[in-house]
Formats: sequence, structure tokens, C-alpha cells
Amino acid sequence: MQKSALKQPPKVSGALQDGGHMAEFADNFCTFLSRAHAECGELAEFDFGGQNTVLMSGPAAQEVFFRTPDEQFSQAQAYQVMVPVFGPGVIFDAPPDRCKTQLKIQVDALRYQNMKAYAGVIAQEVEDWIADWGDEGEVELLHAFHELTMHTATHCLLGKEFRQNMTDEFFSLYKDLQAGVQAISFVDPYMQQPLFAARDAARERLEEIVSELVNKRRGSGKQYGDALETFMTGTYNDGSHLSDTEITGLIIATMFAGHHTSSGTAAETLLEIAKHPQYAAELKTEIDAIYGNGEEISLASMRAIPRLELFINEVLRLHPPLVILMRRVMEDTKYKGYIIEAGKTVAVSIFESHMNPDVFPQPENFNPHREEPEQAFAYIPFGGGRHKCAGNAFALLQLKAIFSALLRRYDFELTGPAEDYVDEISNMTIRPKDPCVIKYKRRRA
Amino acid sequence: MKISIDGDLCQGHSVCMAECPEVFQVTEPQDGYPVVTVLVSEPAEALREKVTMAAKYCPNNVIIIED
Repeated sequence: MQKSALKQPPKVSGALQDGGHMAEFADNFCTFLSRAHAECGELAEFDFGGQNTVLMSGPAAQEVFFRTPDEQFSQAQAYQVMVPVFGPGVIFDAPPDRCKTQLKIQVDALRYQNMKAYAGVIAQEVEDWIADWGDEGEVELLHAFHELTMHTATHCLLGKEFRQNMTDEFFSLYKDLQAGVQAISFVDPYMQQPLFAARDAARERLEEIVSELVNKRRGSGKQYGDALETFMTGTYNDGSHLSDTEITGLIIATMFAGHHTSSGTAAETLLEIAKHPQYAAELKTEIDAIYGNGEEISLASMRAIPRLELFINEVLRLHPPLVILMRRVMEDTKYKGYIIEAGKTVAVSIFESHMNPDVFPQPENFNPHREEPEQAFAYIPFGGGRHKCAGNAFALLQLKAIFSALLRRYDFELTGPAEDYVDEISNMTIRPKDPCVIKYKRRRA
Repeated sequence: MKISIDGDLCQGHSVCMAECPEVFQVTEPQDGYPVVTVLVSEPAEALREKVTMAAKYCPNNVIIIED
């Protein structure tokens, strides 16, 4: 077909002179994305702060998004905003072959062989975390899970010694890095800005900390079984190792991918448990049967816990921690009589996909008995294809360990009416609105 | 029982190899990502449970079982 015979994707109405649809998106992406899809269908073009972005929705278009190779839909080019956070020469800033090796080394740290060690670490961290909960009380979920997942993440990534001696400095550096990624960073992540200056200072200091740790380990001959060990031993094709800058970058990238997502999902899961006593009872029956004969959490959470898994799947459907995924179009791409031109960005909305009533009947209802959709690439909490979240097995393992420990010991209930517990949907992520307090009470034997 | 794989999706996590080494092997090419190979495409019925677990716990849903 001639290029001229192909149509341009329909445009979403209401773009402002300044920033296009950026303000509307940042304010409430849920309503914006629903509107975009309703107005335009499978392809909907909007203006994301000057970047023409084509939202691809529905299982068929999403499959194209996930299966198109990187040379055509580039992940690295769409995420240049992360370069100053991860550091020079790391992942999205590395030449394609080095980037590929870095991602392979990152996946190595999450392979099955390492997972067994992580399962033990997580089980221990959860025990320590609830050790002083007592018989009953109240807990604010966002802060509680932020702390727990920070402990598990640093322990699995940087090792036991680092985790035990960790100071508040690490938390505050990480916070500065996180604050360095804003909607405005997508416009220009290098502009003169106090937030970006703090981000760069934090990146530099973090590298000093990691270098110190790496130097201590080099030549020690000890085995650590953590991700840092995998990052330090990984090699490029020419046999050379990752530099300290690259190791630091991989650690930051892994934290960024896994921390706030796991922390938010854990909070949403416990909130749904407190909201739905009938489903919580089913989970407790299952957990009691599994652990009744003294099974250890570290081992059991690596195995099937079917009802809990379905429950977590439904939490991830209704509250996916990431909102949209993006790729930069490198070559003109045809889709059903339309052309998506090189230079544009394509996006898939995880949230919008999970709220599709054709795939998920009554999508706004929480229903852990929901049947798995037949279409591939419709349920996509971890994305899909070659860039699918490499930490998805780690995330599920961690959630299973956390809720095995909690449900064995405690009953949970809301402290106020259910309508008061809503999701915070600004800032491109979904999480419970702060504060999110629930009550717990030790289960009677 | 017939086994095929959707190679576009494999990231080399190796869960399948841990569940059922008789059927799945993950090998690392010189450049690029490790990927799964199916050693026996029509394994014996006795391996069904292990193969099913491998497919179920593959983080990327790479493994397709027919019949």
C-alpha cells in the first residue's frame, strides 16, 4: 500500500497550546485515557508535552506493541528521562549490545537459582517487621510497606551487611532520585532545577557508597548470594566487567522497577483483604492448610498458593502500579490501514486495558474469582514481550511470603467506611491515598 | 502431550529448567539473552505434572502445552 493511502491515527480533542494534553493527563490519567479510547478507538493520538503519542488499546493493538522488535519500537529512546537517574552509559544510555548485556546481567540476578536465597531473606525480614506488632493495633499501610520493601530490596540487592548497617542517608538519597522523575522530566530532564540538582547529587553520593562496598568485596573470596554479587561477576562479550558506575546504575534501575511497585501493591492487597472479609476467609483457610504442618514460609511461598495468587492477580488488575508503557517509533509502522510515523511515541495503558468491559466484565468490581481472559496481552500488570518486567516472579514471591505471614497471625478490618479508602491517581502511578490506616487483631487459635 | 514455545517472550529465567530439566534447557548464546530450548517436544505422559508446573510458573508464559 502507498504511504499516501494510509490514514493518520485520529487525534484526541482538547489539546492545549501549552503542553498539549499533559496537564489533563497529570491531573487524572484514568479519565483522560478512557476519554482518548472512547473518542478514537484502537489508536488515539495525543500530545504529551510536545511529544506526539499514539495510545494503542485493545488486545490486538497491544500485542503489536509488545511483539514489535526494539529496532522498530525502541524502549531506550522512550525512556531517556531515566538516563540522569541511572547514570551515564547505563541501560537506556548504553549502546544496544552493551545495554543487552546489562539487562541480561540484571535478569541473571533474578533467576531461579538466586530466588531461593531471596525467599529466605524475605521470610526473615517479614518476621522481623511484625515482631513488635503485638495482639492488636492499627497500621498505616503506605509507610509500613514502604519500610518493609526497602528492607527486602536492599537486603536482596546489596546484602545482609549493608542492610544491617544501613543509615537514613540511603533512604534520603533514594528519595531525591525518585523526586527527580516528574512529568516535567519528560519535557527536559536536564533543565536548571533544584529537584534535578538534588537528583544528580544523590546519584553521585550513591555511587561512592556502592564503590566502597564493591572495593571491600573485591578479592574477599566470599560468596554473598545477592544481586550485587551477580552484577560484580557479570561480563561483557570481551570478558570485561561492569564499572562501578554501571553497577550503581543497575542497582538504582532495579530499585526503581521493584520498590514502589511492590510497596504499593502490598498496600492495595492488604486493603482489599480488609475490605472483603468473605474472600479473606478463603485465603485464611488456604494458608492454614498449607502451613498447618509446620511448612516454612520461604519454601512454601515459592510454590503454588492458588487462591492467594488469584487474589493478588485481581489486585494487580484493578490497581496496576504502573500506568502507561512507552516506546519510540524508529520506523514508520502500519496498523490496520493507519500509519504511525517514525519519531512519534507509542503507548499502552495498563490501567485502560484492565478496565476493558469486553475482556473483564464489570471491570470496576474486585472479584478474585474472575476467570482468566482468553486474549493474550489483555492482562498486562507486568507488561509483555521481551521487555516484560523481569522481576515479576520476585514480586509474586515477595507478596506470597508477606501475606502468608500476615494472614496466619492476624485478622484485618477497616477503621472507617469503605468509601473513604480511595486510590491516589496523580503523578502517573496508582496507590492508596495517604494515610491508609487499618486495624489488625491476632487470630484466635 | 506436545510442547511448543513462544520464543519472542523468553527472558531466560530458568524456572522451567528447575521444574522439569528432562524437557527444558536454558542455554546462553555468545551474545544476547539466554533462551529456553525444548529437549523433548513430545514428552512421556509421566512428565505431565512437571511440565504443567513449568508452564504455570514461567514468568513470561512462554510454554504452550497442546492436548
